[in-house]
This record gives sequence, structure tokens and C-alpha cells, in this order.
Amino acid sequence: MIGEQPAAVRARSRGRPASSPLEEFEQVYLRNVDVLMGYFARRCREPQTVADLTSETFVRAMNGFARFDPRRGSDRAWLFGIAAHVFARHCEQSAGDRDAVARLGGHRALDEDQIEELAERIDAEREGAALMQRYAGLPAVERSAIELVDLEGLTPKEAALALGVSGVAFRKRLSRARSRLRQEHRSND
Amino acid sequence: MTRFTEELWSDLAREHGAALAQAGRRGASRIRRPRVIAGSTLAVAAIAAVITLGLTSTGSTTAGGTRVVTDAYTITQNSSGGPVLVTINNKESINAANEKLNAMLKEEVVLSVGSGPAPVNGAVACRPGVPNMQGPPVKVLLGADGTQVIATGTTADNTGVGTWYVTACHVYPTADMGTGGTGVGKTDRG
Repeated sequence: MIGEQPAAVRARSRGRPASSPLEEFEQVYLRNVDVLMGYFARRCREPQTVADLTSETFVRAMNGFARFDPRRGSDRAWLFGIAAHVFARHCEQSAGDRDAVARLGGHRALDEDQIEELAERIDAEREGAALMQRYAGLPAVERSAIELVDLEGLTPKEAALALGVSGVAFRKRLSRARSRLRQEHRSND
Repeated sequence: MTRFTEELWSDLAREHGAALAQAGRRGASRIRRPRVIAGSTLAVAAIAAVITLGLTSTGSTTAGGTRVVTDAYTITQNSSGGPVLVTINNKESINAANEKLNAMLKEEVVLSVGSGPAPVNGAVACRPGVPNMQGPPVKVLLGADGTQVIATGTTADNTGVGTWYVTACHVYPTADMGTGGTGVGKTDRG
């Protein structure tokens, strides 16, 4: 299956417990890098953009890992929160302004093989991208709620943490989103 | 890992590893809930649709339980308050199932559906969508063994032609659904 973790990743993830922050972060990276690439691949068609945004997310995460407290929520929820900010900032920037990404160390020059890998990853996300397109009529906050819970498998509590909203506010968004989808579903019959 | 992810990790470790090692970790606990990792990763590329089922129906009673049978779906609850199994025999029937299931459980199930045959045969257990769910456990079985094949010309909505399986299922109390934007004199249901 396209999104399955390679055997090498599984083996390393299940190895001995992390003994240093770097090893602990490596496990976080291995568990989440493919999912985060998918998140950006559903939003961007350019391999270089997917690479840059994925890189920037992990640079930010690594720099903030000392403040990450797993008792407050999963590492995946935490990373999605960072990814959402990174993508929002990307959207705000003009097309030619890559300085901010470069300053953060997120920009990486890709060779042809890597471009091809990322293009395949983007292609693999086309169904998810199409689904997101289908939900394009929803407000962005509601679309994010649906995506994080129903597509990425976060619990509502984790998704609320990722989006930086209270659990109550998140459940309202999710409820509205599902209500709208039900309406759309019925109207399409 | 792909070459990109391997090289990205090498760069991260080289450029930021020393700072991370010095900074240490504030969160002492490494306890993780054993969820999300594989499921979400698998789902990323395969998700094709999200289907909402509103659980509503009276159904017919058998031996102290409830069993609602149609050509399209079967809802079985062998005892009051016991586990509920929803078998979907025909994807086109989801809207009909919506109407049936709502009054029965006052709950709503959301299915994430992936493309391809089910990696594991059988029903999928629905996870609580909100904390402290009061209702009975709910499972959803797609087709006879967890896989549904939709042939050309037989689908009216949802996922479309192809082979599908349930990748995730969440159950929510109906009271929690569709009320977020509503209040006295206001509704978002048109």
C-alpha cells in the first residue's frame, strides 16, 4: 500500500527506547514524516514546495522540541499544529518570496531523483486532494476539522490541540462541518 | 525511508542536533497512546471518502434484542445496551441507513473508506468520537467480509466505482452533531 511505512522505518521505530532528545526526536520524525509530507502533498503540486514545507515544519519542531510535552497531546497533533502554521505562512507569502523559508533552514535543493520521489508522493495523494477539493465549499476551519479527524485519524482532542482551539470550539466546528456534509450528501441524491 | 526523508533527517541532525541535545526535554513522560501511527499513515494515500451515517430506526425485535434487516443493510443488537453491528450490504443504501439508525441509538457513525480490499477481514470497531461516550459499542461491517466492490453503474454517491474498505470508524452522540452552530432561533441546517 502506498502509505505504508518501509520496513526499515518500522524496525528503527520499534528499536530500543530513545536515550537522548535527538534519538527521541528521530522517532517522532520517523513516525510522522510521511504523514506530514502527505498533508502538504494534498495542498501543493510542486515537489520543491512540498519538500520545503515539510523541511520547515521539522526544523521548527526540532527547535521547539524542548518545549513539547507529550502529556498534553500526541506528537502528531503537535506536528500538525506546526504544519498548519507553516502552510498558512506559505500562503501569505508572495510566490517569489522564499527568504523566510531559507532563513529557517527549510529550503533544500532537490536532485532529480528526489523530485521524482516527491512527485510520486503528490500523485499518491490525489485521492485525498480530490476529497479536500470536494470539501472546498466548507469554511477552512471546518475543512481542517474534518481532515484532521477523519482523514488523519486524530482524536477531536488532539485535533483541537493541533489547531490551537478549545475542545468545545473544535467540536462545534466538527459538528458544523458534518452537518454541512450531510446536507450536501442529501441534496446530491 | 525515501532518499528525501533520509537526507532531510541527516541535515536536521547535523544542523540542529547539537542544539537539541543541549536543550534537553521538558516533558518527562514518554507515554504514548498506541494509536494513530500505522492507521493514519496507511490512510493518507488511500482515503477516498468520508461517509456519515445518522443512526435512526425502530427496527424489529428478536429475542430481547433488535435486528433490522433490509436488502441494503442489517443492524443487529442482540440485547438491550449490547454491542451493535451495522452491516452495509450496498453502499447506495447509506442514506436509507441514515434514516433507520438515528432514532435507534441517538448516535452517529462516521466512516473513513480506503481504496482496495480490506487488509483484515471482518467488522471495524468504531472508536468514541468524544470522551465519555455512553452508548453501546458499535462495529461496522462493509460487505460480507469487510470489502465492498462497487461495479460500474451501481453507485449513486459516496465512494464511486471500485473496491473499498473501512479504514476508520468514529461514533458520536447525535446531540453532539450538528448543534455547534445552532441555538434558539438559529439553525445552520437551512
